[in-house]
Amino acid sequence: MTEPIPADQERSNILETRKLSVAAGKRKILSDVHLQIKARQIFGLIGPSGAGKSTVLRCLNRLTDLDHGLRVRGEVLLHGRSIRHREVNVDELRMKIGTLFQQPVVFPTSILKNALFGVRRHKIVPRHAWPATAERALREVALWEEVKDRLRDPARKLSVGQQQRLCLARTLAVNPEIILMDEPTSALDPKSTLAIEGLIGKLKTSRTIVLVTHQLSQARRLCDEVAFVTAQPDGIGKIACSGTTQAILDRTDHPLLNDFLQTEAEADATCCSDDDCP
Amino acid sequence: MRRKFDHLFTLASGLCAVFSVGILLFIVAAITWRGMGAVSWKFLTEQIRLVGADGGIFYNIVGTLILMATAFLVSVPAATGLALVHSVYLKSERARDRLWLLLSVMNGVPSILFGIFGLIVFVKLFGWGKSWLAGGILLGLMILPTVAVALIEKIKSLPRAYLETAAGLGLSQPQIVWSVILPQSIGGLMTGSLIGLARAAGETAPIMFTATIFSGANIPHGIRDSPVLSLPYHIFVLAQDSLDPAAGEKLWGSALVLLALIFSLSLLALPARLRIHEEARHD
Repeated sequence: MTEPIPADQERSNILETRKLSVAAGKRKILSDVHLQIKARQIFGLIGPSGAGKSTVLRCLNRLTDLDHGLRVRGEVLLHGRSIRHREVNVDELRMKIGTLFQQPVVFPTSILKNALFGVRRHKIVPRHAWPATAERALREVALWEEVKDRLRDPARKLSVGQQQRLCLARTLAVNPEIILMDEPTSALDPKSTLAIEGLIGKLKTSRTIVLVTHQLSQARRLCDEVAFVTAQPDGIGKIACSGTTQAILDRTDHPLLNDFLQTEAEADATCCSDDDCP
Repeated sequence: MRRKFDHLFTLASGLCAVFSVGILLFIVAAITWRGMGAVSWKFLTEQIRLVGADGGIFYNIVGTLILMATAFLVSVPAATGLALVHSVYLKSERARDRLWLLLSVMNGVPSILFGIFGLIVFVKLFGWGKSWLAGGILLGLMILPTVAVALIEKIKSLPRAYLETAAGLGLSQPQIVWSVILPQSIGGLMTGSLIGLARAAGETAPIMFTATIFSGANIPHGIRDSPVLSLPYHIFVLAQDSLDPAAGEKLWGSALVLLALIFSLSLLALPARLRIHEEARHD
């Protein structure tokens, strides 16, 4: 399990970005991103599509390193220390800062092997404890009861919602401090969305979560704080404003934010005319 | 007008397909028809006698299998390394293009040149004389581009999400290679190996100077001066005496066995390939 965070650290920022900017070749994608994310909170990144929310998220555990065309400048600090320093072990960093993607990505193998995918390679748990680790992770995402009798079945046979929970279990099994979630419910049906949202809410007690979402209702339900990422007229993504969820979502004096809130509120209203919509 | 062109194009494509399959079926049918009479238990289990006019081809089959197994063992690790260098470790697009060009050039080198290379390096420079190992290595080098290209294509087609997910879990690059890239690309490796081995099984030029003789060899016990008998060379020599009816019959029989050997290889790998396709279908 994740060790308790000392009280003084809990109040301070666990993750912080300073003057973060990203460019693809000569084209700037993001500029001047300042974020302060406190421990054990759900921090939301909201904003229109293409504004650079996912790119910000990928910078937080250096997944951007996988895109050879991207150039990242500025600082990302974990517990006050730069994650972009040459001496930082990027693999250990990504163990500490796990990721849950938009689409569930399960490997073409069994449910059990998927749940233990990271644990087996990292050798952080002795072999005899693997079954217990898998059970703990699957219980944490409320999937254990549904799969305990078919752990050796292909993970592909699970529903999309179950696959996404399995992906979360796989991430949790590695015991990260922070989980980056990139629109984790966008591919799910309303019932599965509610299940994942319930889990995210529970995870907050032991972990810090950074959540990219375009659903205002979801941000309102889950996030303690949000940052509004939007593309400026020059096409470069920036943090237009940030603060507590209520303060940002109720704000009326920011034209770009207001446009976005209005568009998304209409989209939410259309969606919620469906009875089972979260 | 457009519909007419579509029909014409479909007809032309269909004719091309029928023509290609027809030629293949004709060759298979001709070899089977003419070789069937020669193939018997005795033919498969006895050794060559009377300069190929009598006896069987047991040691030719064994020799061919030894050469193919060696070629497989040489080409698979080398091709895997090349494919990983190309797809994982080379960051520059230019360097990748150059490696690809090298593989293409290597694929186009005439097999006789491989034979001459083997003669100079293995037979003379290393002093191995005619040796099964020299032949196996040469055949392995010859099929290397085929196996490597098939593996590179397979790696290219892997979902990027797999790699990002593994990296997101904190797996290092070698761990990603071992736990994601290689297991998911094994189908490409097998396909490439089979195509390559099918080609290698029929090659005469690279082994005639380096690894094989017509008669007087059985199971090799060492590396130096340890030639083997082989089916392609056997067929090659018999073809020169094909006017002799006894040799002619043995020639067609040997060709049929070689064909069956290649076909069996494909069948052997079929269950594994089907399983891989099934997994890919669920991706």
